[in-house]
Amino acid sequence: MTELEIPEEYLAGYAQILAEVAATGRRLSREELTSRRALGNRRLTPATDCAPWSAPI
Amino acid sequence: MRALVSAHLTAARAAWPAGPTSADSLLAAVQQVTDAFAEGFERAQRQAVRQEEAARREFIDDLLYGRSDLGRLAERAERFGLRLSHAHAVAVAEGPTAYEEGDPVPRQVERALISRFGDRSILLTTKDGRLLCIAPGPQDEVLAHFAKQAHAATDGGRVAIGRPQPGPGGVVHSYEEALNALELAERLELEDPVLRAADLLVYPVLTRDRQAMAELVLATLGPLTTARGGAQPLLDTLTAYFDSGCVAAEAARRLTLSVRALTYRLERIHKLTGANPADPAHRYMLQTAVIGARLLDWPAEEL
Repeated sequence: MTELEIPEEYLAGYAQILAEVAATGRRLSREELTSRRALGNRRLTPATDCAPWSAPI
Repeated sequence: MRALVSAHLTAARAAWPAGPTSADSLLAAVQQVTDAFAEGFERAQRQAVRQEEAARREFIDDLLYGRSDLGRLAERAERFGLRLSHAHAVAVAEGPTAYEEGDPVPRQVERALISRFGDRSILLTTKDGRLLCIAPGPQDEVLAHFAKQAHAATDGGRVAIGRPQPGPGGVVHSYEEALNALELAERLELEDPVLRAADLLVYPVLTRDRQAMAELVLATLGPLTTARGGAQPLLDTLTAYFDSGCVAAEAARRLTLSVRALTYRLERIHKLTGANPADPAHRYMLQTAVIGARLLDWPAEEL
């Protein structure tokens, strides 16, 4: 996987949500919104916690 | 973020149902998803910025404390653009009030330095309410410019520049030199807006042995306390006389005295102390004792 590619996990469950919305026309549940927010928040946190370049060479 | 939004849209297109469906509710769902995702993303970014600021502050405190693991310090320094294997010099500016990072005055000085020098491995910060500039040793023009800008921005505050010192401990060494220079300027009431530790090297020699200096002050100048009006006017006379290169007329002008009155005071000093300020053999001892008295705050403080 190259760096520019967006890892699949940022979209985890996304297709499922869209499929359900398409079938029922409903809006997103609170849990679904929370899960999206958490995915967005994940974006930077792991990188600063365990950046490979911070390890002694 | 751009790539992430794009990924969401691409995935939405791929998942778009073939059959008849409400485009509006699907787009609303996509909007909700990207909005929530972006919110989480921005929160993570703000957190990262705060972490970075905290890490910088901690690094600066360690750098100026001088007791942390030096090898590790050098490693961290690279992240902030400092190569501690080279020599660094520190300038410290003290204004009428205390400053903190992000205040208008430090930011004004920072803008002035960046517009002139770019980001040339200069670290600007605050410590204990003073402005600090850390620059690579040979780049004297950076600290000179900082001194000028900080003096102006702090409404005539005093700036001291430490000597360049090599190695990871060099920054704290130069910082302490600058601090000592500020303290010295305060005690000696030096008027120069910019002080260089390199020009003040004689003072540590005079202050290192406090006991010996106290003895010299008391033995040489002690008798002045018996004068009518106390020792202070005579000490001020000696200071003005030495500061004017031992020219009585100039010293009289500085003290707004007549030359006659000044000469009379010098004679009193000669009579009381047994040392003649005009005699080169006595002058060195008297001058050193006068500087020592100011350093020790004598006679206000008892020795």
